[in-house]
Amino acid sequence: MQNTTLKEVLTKGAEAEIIKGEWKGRDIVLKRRVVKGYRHPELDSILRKERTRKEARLIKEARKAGIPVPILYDIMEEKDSIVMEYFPGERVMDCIENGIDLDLELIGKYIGKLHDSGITHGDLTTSNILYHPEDGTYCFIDFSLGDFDADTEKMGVDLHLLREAIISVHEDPFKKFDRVLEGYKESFSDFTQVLNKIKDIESRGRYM
Amino acid sequence: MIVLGIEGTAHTLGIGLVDDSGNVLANVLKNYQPSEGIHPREAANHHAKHLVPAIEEAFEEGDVRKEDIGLIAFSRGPGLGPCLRTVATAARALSLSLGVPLTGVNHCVAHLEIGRLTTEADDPVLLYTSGGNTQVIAFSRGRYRVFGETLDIGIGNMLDKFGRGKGMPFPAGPIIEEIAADGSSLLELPYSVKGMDVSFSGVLTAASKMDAPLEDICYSLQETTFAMLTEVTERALAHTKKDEVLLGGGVACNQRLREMVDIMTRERGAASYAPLKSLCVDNGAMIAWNGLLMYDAGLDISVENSGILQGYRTDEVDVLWRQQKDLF
Ligand SMILES: Nc1ncnc2c1ncn2[C@@H]1O[C@H](COP(=O)(O)OP(=O)(O)O)[C@@H](O)[C@H]1O
Ligand SMILES: [Mg+2]
Repeated sequence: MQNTTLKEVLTKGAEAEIIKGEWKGRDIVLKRRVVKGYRHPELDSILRKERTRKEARLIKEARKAGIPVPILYDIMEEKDSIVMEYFPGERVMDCIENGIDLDLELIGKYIGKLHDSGITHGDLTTSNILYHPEDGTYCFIDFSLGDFDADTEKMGVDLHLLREAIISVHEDPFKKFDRVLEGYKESFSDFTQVLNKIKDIESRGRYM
Repeated sequence: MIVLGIEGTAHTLGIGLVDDSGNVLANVLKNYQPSEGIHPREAANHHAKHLVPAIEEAFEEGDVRKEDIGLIAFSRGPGLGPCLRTVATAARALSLSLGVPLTGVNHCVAHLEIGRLTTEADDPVLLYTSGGNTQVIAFSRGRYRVFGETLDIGIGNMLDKFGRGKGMPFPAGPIIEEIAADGSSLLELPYSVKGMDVSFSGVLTAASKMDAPLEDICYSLQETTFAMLTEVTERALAHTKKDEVLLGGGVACNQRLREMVDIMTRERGAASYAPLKSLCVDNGAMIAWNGLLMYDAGLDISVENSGILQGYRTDEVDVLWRQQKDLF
C-alpha cells in the first residue's frame, strides 16, 4: 500500500507480527504472518496464504453482518499481510483481569449475530476481542480460522473456546460466561442446538 | 521420607520410589502389550499380576526397605476404570498394612510436576501428548488449566489406529516415527486447529485411505499433526504470556515433535524442556513425587475417601502446593 509509514511493532502474536503505522493520516496496523521454521515449508506457506486470504474475506463479511471489526484497507497476498484499521483498545482478557467492567451481554449479542449470518470465528478467545474503555466499543479480530458455512458444530466450538478462555483465567468465570450466553440467546434464535453442542464437545475431549 | 507411587491409568504399570529431596530412587515400568488396542480388563489383570513383583523390583533397585516408606501415592484418574481400581486397591492395602498416609494423584498434573522437578522448567505450558490424552496445560489462578485439547481422539490413539490399519503392532507411534524417517514428500492432509484446540479424526480417515508409499504417508502424518500440536502450544504461550514449554506423555518421546517444539520456542525467545524418557512416559515416580507435594500441602486422603476418579479433570485439582510455594 502506498504512502504507508510503519512505526512500531505492537506485538508478536502466535502467528503474526502486528505493526502499527499510518496511512493518509489514519492509524493502521499491518498484520504479517511470519514463517514458522518448525513447519514443513510447503505446509507453512499454504497455511499463511490460506489464512491471510480467509481473514480478509471474513473481516469483510463480518462487517456486512454488523459485527464490529477493523476496516480492511488492503491485502498483500505475496507478503502474507493485511492492512486494517487500528483499534485503540485492550484485549478483553486483560480488561477482565484488571477488573474493568465489560458489557458481556453485548459481546454475546455480537457472537449471536455473527453466527446468525453463517460465520464462525474459529479462534474466539478473549485475546481476540478488543475493548476501548473511553467510548465503550468492542472490536473482533483474528478471523483466520473461521468459516462461512457455519454449522452447529463449528458454532459450538466457538463458544467452547470462549468458555475455556474465560474459565481458565478469570474470576467468577461461570457467571461471566453465562452473561455472554444471555446476549447470545437474544440475537440468535437457533441457540438451543449450539448450547447442547457445547456440552457434547466438552464430554468428548476428555479421556477416551 | 520415601514415597511409593503407583501408576496405572492405562497400559503401563509403574512403581516409583522418590525421596523428599526429589531424588528418584527407583522407577519400574511394566507394559501391557495388547494384540490390538487396549482391553481395559486385560490391562487391569496385567497390572494385578505384576504389582507385587514390580514393587519388589523397585525396592531392590532403590535399595529401600518397606519400613522406609512414609507415604503411598496412586494414580486416581483420569483413566480406564478397571486399571484405576486395581492400583487403588493395592495402594489402600499398602497404606493400611504399612500404617502410612495415602494420596490420590491426578495423572495429567503428575506429568507436569515431574517435569518441573527434573528439568529447569518453572512455570511452563505443558504439551501433554499420550495415547488417550492431548492437552495444553498451564498454571493460572491456583489451578492447572486446560488451554487447549483434542476435540475428538488423542494423538497417540490416532497414531495407533492408523498403524493398526497398516498392520503395525501396538504401540504404533515409534514404528511410524521410524518409517517416516524414510519419507520425503509432503502429502496433503487436513490441518485442523481451532483456537487452541485440535482434532485428529479427519486426518486419521484421510491418511488411512491414502494410496501412496507408506513412508510418505507416515512422514506427512507426523509433519501435519505435530505442526498442529506445536501451533496450539505456541498459541497458548502467546495467550498466557509464558515463556517455557514442557513436554510430557509417551508421544513426547518422538524426536520430530521435540524438534518442532524446540524450533518454535527458539524462534519466539522461549525455552523448551523435556524430562528423561522414563519420566516422560507414564511412570510411578511422577505419581510418587506429586503425591508428596500433595501430602505436604495437606491433601492426603483417608482410605474411605479414596475412590477412583475415572474422568478426573486437570483443573479439578487444587494446586495448593504451588500457591503456598509462590507466597514465599
Ligand atoms: N486492528 C487492530 N488494532 C489494534 N490492535 C490490534 C489489531 N489487530 C491486532 N491487534 C493487536 O495484536 C494482537 C495480535 O493480533 P491477532 O490478529 O490476534 O494475531 P495472532 O493471530 O498472532 O493472534 C492482538 O491481541 C491485539 O493486541
Ligand atoms: Mg489472536
